[in-house]
Amino acid sequence: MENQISFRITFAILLMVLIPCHLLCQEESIALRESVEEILALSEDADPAAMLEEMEGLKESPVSINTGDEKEISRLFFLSEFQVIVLADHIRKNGSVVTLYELALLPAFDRNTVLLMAPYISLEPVAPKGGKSYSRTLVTMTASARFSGNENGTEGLRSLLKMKHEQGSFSFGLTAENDPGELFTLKNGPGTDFLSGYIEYEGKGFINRIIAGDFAVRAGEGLLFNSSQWLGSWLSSPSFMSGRSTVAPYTSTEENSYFRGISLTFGNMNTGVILFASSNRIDARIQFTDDSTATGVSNLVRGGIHITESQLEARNSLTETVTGLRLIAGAEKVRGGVTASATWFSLPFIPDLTEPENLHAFAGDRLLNLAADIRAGTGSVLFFAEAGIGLASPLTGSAGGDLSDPQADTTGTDPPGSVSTVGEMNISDSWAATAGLRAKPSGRVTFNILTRHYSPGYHAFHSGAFRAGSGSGNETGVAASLHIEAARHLFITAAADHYRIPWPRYRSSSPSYGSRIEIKGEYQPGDDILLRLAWTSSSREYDAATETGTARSVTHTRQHLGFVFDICPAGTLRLTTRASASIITPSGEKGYLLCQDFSCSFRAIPLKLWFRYALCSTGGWDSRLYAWENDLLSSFSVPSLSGEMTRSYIMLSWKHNDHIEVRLKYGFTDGTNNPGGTFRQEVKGQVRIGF
Amino acid sequence: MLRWNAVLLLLFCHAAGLNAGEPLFVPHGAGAMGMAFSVTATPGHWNCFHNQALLATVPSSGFSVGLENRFMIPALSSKAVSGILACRPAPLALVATHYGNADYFRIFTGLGSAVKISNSISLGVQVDYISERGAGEYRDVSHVTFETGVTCLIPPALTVGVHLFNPLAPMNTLPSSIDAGLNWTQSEGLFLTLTGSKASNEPLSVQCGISWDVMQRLTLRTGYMSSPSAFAFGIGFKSGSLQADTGFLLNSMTGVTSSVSITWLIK
Repeated sequence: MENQISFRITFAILLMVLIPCHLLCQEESIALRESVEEILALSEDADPAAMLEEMEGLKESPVSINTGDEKEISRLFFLSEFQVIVLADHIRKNGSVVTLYELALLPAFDRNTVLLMAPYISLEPVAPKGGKSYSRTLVTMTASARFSGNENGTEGLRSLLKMKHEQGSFSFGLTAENDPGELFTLKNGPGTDFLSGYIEYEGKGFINRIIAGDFAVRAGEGLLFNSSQWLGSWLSSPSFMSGRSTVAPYTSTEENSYFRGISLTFGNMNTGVILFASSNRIDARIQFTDDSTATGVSNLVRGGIHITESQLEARNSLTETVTGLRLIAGAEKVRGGVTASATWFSLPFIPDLTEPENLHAFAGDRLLNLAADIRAGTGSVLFFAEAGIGLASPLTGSAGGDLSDPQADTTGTDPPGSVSTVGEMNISDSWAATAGLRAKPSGRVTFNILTRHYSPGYHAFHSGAFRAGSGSGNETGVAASLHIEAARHLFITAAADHYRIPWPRYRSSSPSYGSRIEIKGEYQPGDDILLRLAWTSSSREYDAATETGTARSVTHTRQHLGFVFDICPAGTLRLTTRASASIITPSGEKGYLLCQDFSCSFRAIPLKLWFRYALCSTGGWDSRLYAWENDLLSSFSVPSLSGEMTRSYIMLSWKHNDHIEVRLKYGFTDGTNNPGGTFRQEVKGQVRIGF
Repeated sequence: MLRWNAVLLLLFCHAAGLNAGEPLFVPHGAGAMGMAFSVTATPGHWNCFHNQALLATVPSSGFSVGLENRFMIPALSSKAVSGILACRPAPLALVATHYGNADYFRIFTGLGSAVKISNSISLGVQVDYISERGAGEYRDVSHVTFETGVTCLIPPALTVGVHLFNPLAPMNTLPSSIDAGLNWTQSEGLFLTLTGSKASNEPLSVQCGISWDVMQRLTLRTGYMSSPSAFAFGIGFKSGSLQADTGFLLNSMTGVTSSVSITWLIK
């Protein structure tokens, strides 16, 4: 006992000695964290991996905005072209930005945008450029392991290697990953389950950028292409506008939503051309005939896990070939673009037309997409719009041309655009449009509004426009948000989205309605203290589960109330207390979460420590609650908690110098109080070397 | 002070006894529609009929005509005329509306006035006569009731308003409603509004709106109401003593309701 007391005293003294030091590493915006958690809770198929990894990549290599270089600033992918130009102009004319507050005063910027940018930018003054071209290499090696009492597919070792090298105008990168349970083998493969790489050239003249290898595309408002598609679900985001159009190297570990080939970008932000061609093998569920001949694809498979027989069968079973062209033209206040793409699949899609929700599903092996977009404004008002069509070919493509559709309709009652409408191009059911406005009538008020219509038969496999549901079509809605500085230090955000789903879809056998409402208040009397209260409500019509015959529609509502108290009592110590609750109607299911975070860095040693303890009690899975965690570099962790659970983790970061950083994380989730519950543990380790 | 306590007590006593019926009366004014009718504390010609206490702040006399086309169905359209005489100390307001078609229609008339009780507080009242006529054997009915409102300036930029319709609900078959709202003038040409509205046997509706004079003559408005859930949009245009407004309500189930009004202000 005496030993224990003396250990505690020693530990306390050690903390007191080490605490009064310096640093408060910027973390992600709390608004962003909350939204990630809520969107995950609401959508079964939301996958924020690509976007969050893109953001984590920015954190590793913050954008040096004081360069005043549009290319450098535009690495902040969520900024629009107008914002990039405004910021670059401001720095060129007025010199370096000294504080974040200065940014919020610029036209087209506001506090929420600046808070979103904060973790990913550097305000360091720019050193004069020397004659030598610099080179920089960054290698990040991560290994994590999960253990629990039960055997399941999620156990095992996950390994990830990321490497990036820059020298002058050239750079190249490599990402290699094995998910838990996936084998490392050189037999018929490159060793790792997922391997991605690129070589990039960035020019200063007419040739803007060339990428060979894996890349991501963002164009217009995302009707055709948006690699950060998940951002579109964020209702209380600072703006509904998509980020600027670009082609960027792909560095995420999401295994099915990228392009592999070559992209060429010519010109600049106001006048330019983007050309790209890609051929990539992706996961899909294949249909076979009795003699094991592949006849078509029933659906694509996401997730990138390849452990079970069916997952391995789906792995890289479909080749997607895409060619695209984008033309950009504009002036200071108006900018527009036209995007066209053609997609071929190695096997035709043959949806199950006995299910009503599939009558508008993509069928065939070819897709032609066209879109046009425009952005205009002066800073206080910004208008944006994009319209596009997606024309799916019938089953007469090269691969499936000789096939008779086993599920073809013979009654003549098929809707247009379905499999049996051979040779028709039904434009009226294949279009989509989105338009919106962002207005900043005064320095304390920002208003966003967006309307959208995606026809049930509109298809685009890499789209990512603002919408409530998943997929590319079948939604019509209006969304609006208002950000107000109601009083000094008091910030209020209110947002609403109402949408209609005109065609049946999974769990809804009739047209349905949905809505989302968010109201958030934030009181920040100083840089070191923050209180935040948020209420969100999300409703959606589904079929009543217990009935036979024609399904009755029932509106399911999830309400979530969250409270966050964040304080930095010392420069290096941060305490975050969080309480949240969820209520589901009509089931009446409820859930609660209490969470305490602690982070601390030290002056004497280059160590940073994070600790969390969370308690959760929910009535079931529907009322589950998500809790964002700090995680390793280039990674994110948002575990879901349901039933009676405790969750805790500790993470250490040792940054010996600018060249090397080591992170270790140990976490456990105790669900043994639940029937069949387990005690799950995870250990993660990471080394990042830069030279 | 005693007078004020009595007024507030009267309002809240009536609010506590609200019951019965559904909201029957179509609110008018395209400007108000553009802000999802969150105008309980917002000055304006048509807004005076949403809270009669606002009459006390009307700067000049005026006349207006308005048309509302509910769900874009002509049979559900409503026409209205109104006039305000800005005489002091008690302005006088008159409104008449017609809703329906040849087989069923409702005529609503109201006569109201308001007084300033202090520099920051105003009180208004309006007597209403409502007549409903149906074709065939349906019985024609008529009602007389009243509505009242109060507004209060807390700081000069913030106005609070409360409005009560038909406190006589126990004595007639009309519904009652109570609205409480805020109007915050954030800067010149920009104000934000928030209203909570409760009608008998209807869920509480929270409405908010924003109005922005983007140019000297052009005003953009938008708003949101929670029940029935709808987005609102509107545009206003001023030229001399004439003002034209249009407003739209978008509900995902019932579609679009449009409204237009033209107001002539005698300066």
